[in-house]
Amino acid sequence: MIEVEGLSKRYEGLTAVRDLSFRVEAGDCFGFIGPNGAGKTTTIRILATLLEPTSGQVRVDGHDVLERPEEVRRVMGFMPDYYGVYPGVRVWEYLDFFAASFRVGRSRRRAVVDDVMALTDLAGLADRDVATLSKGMKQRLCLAKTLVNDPRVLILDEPAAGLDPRARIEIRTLIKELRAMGKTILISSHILTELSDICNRVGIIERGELRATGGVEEIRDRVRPRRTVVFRFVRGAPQAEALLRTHPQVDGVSSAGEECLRLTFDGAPEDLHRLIKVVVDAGLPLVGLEPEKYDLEDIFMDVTRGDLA
Amino acid sequence: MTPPAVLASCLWRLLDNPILAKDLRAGFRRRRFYVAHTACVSVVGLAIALAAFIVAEGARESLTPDQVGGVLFWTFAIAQYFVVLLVFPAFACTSISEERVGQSYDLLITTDLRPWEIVVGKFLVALLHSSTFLLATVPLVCIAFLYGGVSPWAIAGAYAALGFVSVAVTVYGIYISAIARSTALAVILAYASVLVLAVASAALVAFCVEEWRDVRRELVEPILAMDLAWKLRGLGVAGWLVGSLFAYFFLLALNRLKPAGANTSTNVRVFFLVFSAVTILGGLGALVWYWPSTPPHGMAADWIARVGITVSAATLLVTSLLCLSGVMAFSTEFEPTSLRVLRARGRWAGPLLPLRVLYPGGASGSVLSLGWSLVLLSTVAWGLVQGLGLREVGVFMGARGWTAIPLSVAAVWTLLLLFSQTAVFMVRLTGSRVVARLLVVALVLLLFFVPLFGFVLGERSGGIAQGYFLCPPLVVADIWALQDVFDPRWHVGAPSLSAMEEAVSAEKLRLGDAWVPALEYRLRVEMAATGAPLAQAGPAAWGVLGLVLAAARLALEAARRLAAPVLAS
Ligand SMILES: Nc1ncnc2c1ncn2[C@@H]1O[C@H](COP(=O)(O)OP(=O)(O)OP(=O)(O)O)[C@@H](O)[C@H]1O
Ligand SMILES: [Mg+2]
Repeated sequence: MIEVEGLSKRYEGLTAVRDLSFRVEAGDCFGFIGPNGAGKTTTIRILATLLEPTSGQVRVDGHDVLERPEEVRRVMGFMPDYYGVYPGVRVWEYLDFFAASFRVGRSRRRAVVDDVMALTDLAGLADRDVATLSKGMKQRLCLAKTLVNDPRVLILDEPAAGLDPRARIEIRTLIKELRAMGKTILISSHILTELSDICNRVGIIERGELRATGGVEEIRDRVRPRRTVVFRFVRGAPQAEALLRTHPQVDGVSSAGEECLRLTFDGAPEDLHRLIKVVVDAGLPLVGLEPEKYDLEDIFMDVTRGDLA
Repeated sequence: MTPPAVLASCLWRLLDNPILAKDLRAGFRRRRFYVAHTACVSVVGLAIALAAFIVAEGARESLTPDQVGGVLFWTFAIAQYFVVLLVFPAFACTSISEERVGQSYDLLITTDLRPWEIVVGKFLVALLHSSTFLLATVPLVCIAFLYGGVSPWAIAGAYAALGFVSVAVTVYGIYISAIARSTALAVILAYASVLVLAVASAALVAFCVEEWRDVRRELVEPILAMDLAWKLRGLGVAGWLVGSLFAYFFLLALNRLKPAGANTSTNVRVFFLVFSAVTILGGLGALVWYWPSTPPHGMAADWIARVGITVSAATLLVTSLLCLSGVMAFSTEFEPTSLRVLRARGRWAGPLLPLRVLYPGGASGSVLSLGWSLVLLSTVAWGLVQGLGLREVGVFMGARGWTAIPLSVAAVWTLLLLFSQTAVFMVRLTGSRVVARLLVVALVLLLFFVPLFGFVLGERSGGIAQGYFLCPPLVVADIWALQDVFDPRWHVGAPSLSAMEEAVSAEKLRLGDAWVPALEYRLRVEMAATGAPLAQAGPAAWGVLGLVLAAARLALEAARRLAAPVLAS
């Protein structure tokens, strides 16, 4: 659905994006992750036909963004990171304007606007002046605006920036719903925990270069083939530590608080079973087992430190 | 589809523009609109009351009520002309740049709307929006009808002229708003250009009015005497030139809104090709076709040539000045897009390099055309001086009235030109918004008060008709519609009323039987009896009424705002 090949963008004296290549297949939700100034917005604006690439090819739904920008705009719903609304215009008028601008016929427009307002939970605000909306409402309004033309591809630049936790979860739920509706989504963020449960694929970008792409699991395995687990005992942690340290599959044991041990071992689940068996056979009272939290945030930290390079 | 059906669907598409509904809603709901509207009506009311008083004062001894009506009507039409000059650029020049500044531009441009629809939508909105200001002052203009003496043709002519100026100012404003990155620059540029154009054309008309009888005999009367076919031909040529100028700015605006990537400015290039081809071939064709035959209605061939060259040189001058101001403010904006695209793709741009010089709006092209138009104009000016014997008049003799002296106007024009260019440069240099605002205020004040000052002085020293040249399009409308208002008494340019009396006697001697003493006597008696008190009280009362209405509106608005918190609590 989205194909980027060898994309570079140079501003005067600065290469914001260098030789970027990735693909987003139909139905995917692609998380575009990177620290501030990594080049996410630059890439997204090129995808949205708002910026010319210096070199490289970008196609959205098979249309080249340089050669056929009109076609790209038609299939795409775009939400920029910063945008303004029109003061003095009501919520439904705002959506009606964009529906009309996407050539939704006069007869269908009412229903389309009502639909997107219901989907984004704006129905109660239909008559509010858009300039008086809060940040969270505005984000939902902009998302509603990107949906009026029933786009196949959604390109969202940090849709959750500046929102409180509740609003963030709402936006996340909304995006999940959109994905369930079969839309292809590219979403950028540097708040990574946010993306881990809505995206099936991620690309990590730093200083204009793509550091890693793939499924969340895939990247995790590549970055950290080992697993870490915390064992919790009623008592006898020191004995357990002595016991486990000698075990061939265990790479490291350390204390993780009172009567708790942190174990690092080769990744397979059977190995974990074997270790538990060793402890239980020795009669030590094991009461808890927690896999160490390891998510996109850690991947991100590892990757952007340059571990993968 | 049949042609009417195609036409109907095109028209529908034009009017079914989503931008129209959105911008009109937002615009009319804004507080800024009400405040500006009220202020405009107050100022025009005040100006009209003042003008009416002056006219009535001057009319006491010499005018019949219907002449007062005619003069008042044209005075008020000039007031409306200033409304157009002041209000229309304000709405037009910010309409697209406002989207940029408000960061809604990206959302707008990525919709399915074509760039031409955006430009046309913004144009219609600016025109409708500003027209409400014109409409609000129409009741004040109607004062003139109380006196009679205003023919339907005069009304039609005046409003056709105003409509033309409105459309011209709006088209140019939209172009500015499409290329401008900041609102302050857009506003400065638009007002500076309008100011320069207004002063320049006023100077031109002042020049003609000063020598009105000569110009009239040599130039206007042959044109008036032409038969319909020739008039239509002339109108066609003028329409082609003016329409092309409009189309040119429309296309430039549209070109800026196109997606940058693959934009090779094809439409602008095609336009220039077609325009040059039609104009040059048409001109040559006309020359060949008409050369051996006698010129129409005794207009000498060298005169036709002179007028033709003057008109084209003046058009070129105006265009290149407009373009040059654009280049100065936005130097990076004007490289031919096609060149840029070719270079970005690493291809050789050799064959397109001449485009750089000829590129519409390009820096070198503007300088070239400016220089050329100046050469043309000075050549032609020499020809005019020779042809009309202008060494005898105006500039070269004693001064009569402030605005009546072309030299003074030219000096003011040069000063203002320098001022506006300096303003643009200073803002670019300092990047200060305070500087920008101060300059805008200064420009607006100049735009309003310089002509007003001249107008009043002109009245004191030379008669009200001198004020016509403050609004050049109205003079043109006047030639066709209100020839009788050009009583010879208006054109003697006497410095005072008693001097005017003398001049009138001189005219009587000159005209002999054409002057009817009985009529003059009757006029005087009538004026003394009814004209003067009526002429003073009527318009003044209407002007005051306008002011009262405006004040009441302001008071209501203030009361509503004061009451709002109380009512809300
Ligand atoms: N118009 C521009 N001119 C010059 N440099 C620019 C321009 N826009 C962006 N940059 C530079 O390009 C680089 C990438 O910017 P970009 O906005 O794409 O980052 P980002 O990943 O979106 O960052 P953030 O998370 O803060 O939004 C930055 O170093 C930025 O300074
Ligand atoms: Mg960004």
